[in-house]
Amino acid sequence: MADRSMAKAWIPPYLLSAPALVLYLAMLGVPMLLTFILSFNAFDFNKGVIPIFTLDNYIEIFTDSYFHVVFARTFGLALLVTVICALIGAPEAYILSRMRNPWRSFFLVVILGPLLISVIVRTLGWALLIGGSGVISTTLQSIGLIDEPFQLMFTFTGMTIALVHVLVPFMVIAVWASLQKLDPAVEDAGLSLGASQFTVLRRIVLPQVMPGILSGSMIVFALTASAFATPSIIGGRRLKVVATTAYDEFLSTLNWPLGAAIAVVLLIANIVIIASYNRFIERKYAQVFG
Amino acid sequence: MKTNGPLALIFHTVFVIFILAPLAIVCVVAFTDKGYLSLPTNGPSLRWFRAILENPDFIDSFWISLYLALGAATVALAIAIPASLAVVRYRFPGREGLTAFFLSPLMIPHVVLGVAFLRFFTEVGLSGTMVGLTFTHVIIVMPYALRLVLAAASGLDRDAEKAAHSLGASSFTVFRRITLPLILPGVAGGWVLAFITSFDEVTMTVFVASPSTTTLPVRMYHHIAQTIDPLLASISTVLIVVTVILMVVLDRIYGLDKILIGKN
Amino acid sequence: MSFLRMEGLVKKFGDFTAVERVDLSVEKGEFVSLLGPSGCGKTTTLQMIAGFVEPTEGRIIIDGRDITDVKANQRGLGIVFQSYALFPHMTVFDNVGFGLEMRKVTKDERRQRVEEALALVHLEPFGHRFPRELSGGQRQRVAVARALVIKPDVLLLDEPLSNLDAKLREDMQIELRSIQRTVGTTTILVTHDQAEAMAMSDRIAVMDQGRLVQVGVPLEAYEAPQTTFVSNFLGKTNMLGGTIADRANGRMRVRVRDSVVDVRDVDPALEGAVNLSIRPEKLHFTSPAEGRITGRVHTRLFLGNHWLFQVDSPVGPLLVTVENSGGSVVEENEQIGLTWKPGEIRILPAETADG
Ligand SMILES: Nc1ncnc2c1ncn2[C@@H]1O[C@H](COP(=O)(O)OP(=O)(O)OP(=O)(O)O)[C@@H](O)[C@H]1O
Ligand SMILES: [Mg+2]
Repeated sequence: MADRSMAKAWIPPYLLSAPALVLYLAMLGVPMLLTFILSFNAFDFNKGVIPIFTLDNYIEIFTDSYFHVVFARTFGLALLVTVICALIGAPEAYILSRMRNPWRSFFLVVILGPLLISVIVRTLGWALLIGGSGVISTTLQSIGLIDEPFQLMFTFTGMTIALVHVLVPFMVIAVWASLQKLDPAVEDAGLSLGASQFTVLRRIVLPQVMPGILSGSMIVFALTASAFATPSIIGGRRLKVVATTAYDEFLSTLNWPLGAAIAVVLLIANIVIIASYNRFIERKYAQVFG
Repeated sequence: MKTNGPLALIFHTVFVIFILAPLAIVCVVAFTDKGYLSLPTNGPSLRWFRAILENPDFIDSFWISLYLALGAATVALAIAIPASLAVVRYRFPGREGLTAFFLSPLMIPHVVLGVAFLRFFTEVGLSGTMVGLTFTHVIIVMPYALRLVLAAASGLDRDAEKAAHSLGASSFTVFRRITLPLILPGVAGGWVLAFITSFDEVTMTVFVASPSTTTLPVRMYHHIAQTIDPLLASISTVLIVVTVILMVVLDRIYGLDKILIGKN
Repeated sequence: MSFLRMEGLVKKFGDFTAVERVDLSVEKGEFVSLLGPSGCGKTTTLQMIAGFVEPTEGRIIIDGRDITDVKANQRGLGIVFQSYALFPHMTVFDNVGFGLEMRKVTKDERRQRVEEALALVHLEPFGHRFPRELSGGQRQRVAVARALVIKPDVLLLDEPLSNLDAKLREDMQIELRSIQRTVGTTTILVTHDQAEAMAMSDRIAVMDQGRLVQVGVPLEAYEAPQTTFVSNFLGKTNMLGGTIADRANGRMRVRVRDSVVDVRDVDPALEGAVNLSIRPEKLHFTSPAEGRITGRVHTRLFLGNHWLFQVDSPVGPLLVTVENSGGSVVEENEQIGLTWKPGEIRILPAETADG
């Protein structure tokens, strides 16, 4: 609503946001720009970064099959993790929403709380569980179910499991939020009209929480595609993803321009996927949920 | 009253075990008495907790992480509060763009930010400084702080401010006595979330941390890359316990679901 | 010289004019209501007096002092908001004491004045409570106490009772009016509830589309509305559109549908199309033969203290109310006659029919 100060001047909002704006321009705008420029520079093992303009880094990324594999692995992993998170996170959110307090609050904290614990710690947990000398392997061996040590460390499966664990709380949050908006009476209305519990779920609840699932999927996908610590620890040197590849270019090979180009491609791919996904969701749900 | 069927409860149990298993195993392994990773079959031992004290590197890193998180969260809030008020109160050209810009670090993979900051620091000579590191963390935690403060500020009753004003309070008094206390839950929640996010950040920090500014998660990451030993488990256990205590406190004073999910 | 004067107040939001040339004078101690439909500019007018909205044009003068450019926190007015706008993080005592604190009133005097104010609104035992621990009516009274404790020159109330249920609203109307009488503060009340305005005010100012259309004491505005809008807005009325057929000897005959109604010729300026307005309680049932017009009762509703009838008549459907005196009344579908006293039909120019 209007008040005097506002009618008088447009200066206050700019003054109020100036500190943040200056910091962002200096600490975000400039670094991103420098990185963008760097990605077009050349690199020589003896001379380091050569400040000329070249498209070589991008050409290398788009033609070298090594990078094709890395990018395919990363986005394949992201897709798989997203689907699994949706398949287990959405039902769990629904079950939570049907619980009574204090159980509901308790389990909500149990499931969301790990978000506040370092990714390193959570990944370490998986390393302890699924390693060759890990708990699952030794337990299964000792009760004689398997003979060989059973190893998920340094495998795609291991990476997937750990990432699902790290990211599934985000899916629960998103679905939970859309469940909160659900009018509790619609389920009863469905039942009163003779629908079975399953039909109510499929025809009444699911369509209404779909936006939550979709937005949760977007978050999980983006975070998996750019995940670093978990793939690095569980995947190791052999199963590289985009983020770990960029890291190695920067801090092992020291080919900064190539590392910067990988980062730029990752950023753009992320933004393009998120933006088109958003557009898709908006078009699909604009009419229903306005 | 709606209830969950047996199938749902089984699913729920498995899900909760899946969530807690890795954390539980860390805590259990931490109590081993062996020199290698194993379950504490001979009863719990505090050997690896004592080992933490004998590793000054980890202790130093803990302090670095703590100061870093305190600094980053505080600076982020100091700039997020006025920015939120500007966005919530005024219609001005570029308002939406500004909000999107302030939230944009959420959209940028932390690896990309790490690359960008590393490049920036070598260019301007800020490499390895605590100040530089703090500002990188401010950028990372600012969106989290901003979202909570924005939610609090937009839920604010503007009439209460007008009432205070009409009773003779100056603009500054209105801010100090009415506005700030009313958005305080959002500010406190935002600060804590910013603090935790900064304390846990590893992906970006791994690029810009120097030997003298290695944070705890980064040191743990480097350590894991070499070897996984029970020391990591005991350190992780300490972190888990501290986080759980923090969580309980937060839940009491603010409601954890409010911080993590937003207003509902 | 009146105490509060608004002179040619105009407020434009872009090209939209929310308030258009409002001139209003209020005497010291007077209770004036700004009454009008939603969106007519009442709140905007009040906020200009309060200092939260800057007038595009015009002046506001209190006690001879032009306050148009004075800041809101320097005006010293008491305001009660529709949402009450209590400070949720302060106790009732601190809420009420806030304005005194801003005036640097000493602690002892503050305590005493807050207690007086709380006594005035019958909330003495509630000082230590927080707003969320109070009922709607109690919150409302805290808001009043907070506004009055600073002894404001003018008390501004923006729909202060609209969040209360009907019964409580009536109680609060009486209480608010009596508090205002006790302290004698000049008061402006904004409301869209005509009954509330008429019940509480010394004068009412009816607004429509940003303009003041009639200012007067409630009885006069009700009995002698000057426009079709006011007549419709204040209470129920039967509005009949017609044309003047002929006029002679101070009387005129107005054609309404197929009938002709004979009324007093009050205004020689009237010509052609007119509206006839007659209040439902001014119509009386007679036998068909004795009535000025005849009709048939279509619906009958019992409303406690009165009956409401809808009657089909040659001049169109008419609403009629009859006080409930315990006896029997006409039945549905009964053929009846209707009559009224001379002079109880108002003739209004049709072209002012807006809103
Ligand atoms: N800040 C603003 N910007 C643009 N138009 C506004 C603004 N404030 C009010 N208006 C418009 O001015 C007109 C009058 O608004 P006002 O709030 O004074 O109405 P009101 O009479 O108090 O109505 P109500 O009974 O619904 O509260 C409305 O049409 C409203 O849309
Ligand atoms: Mg209003």
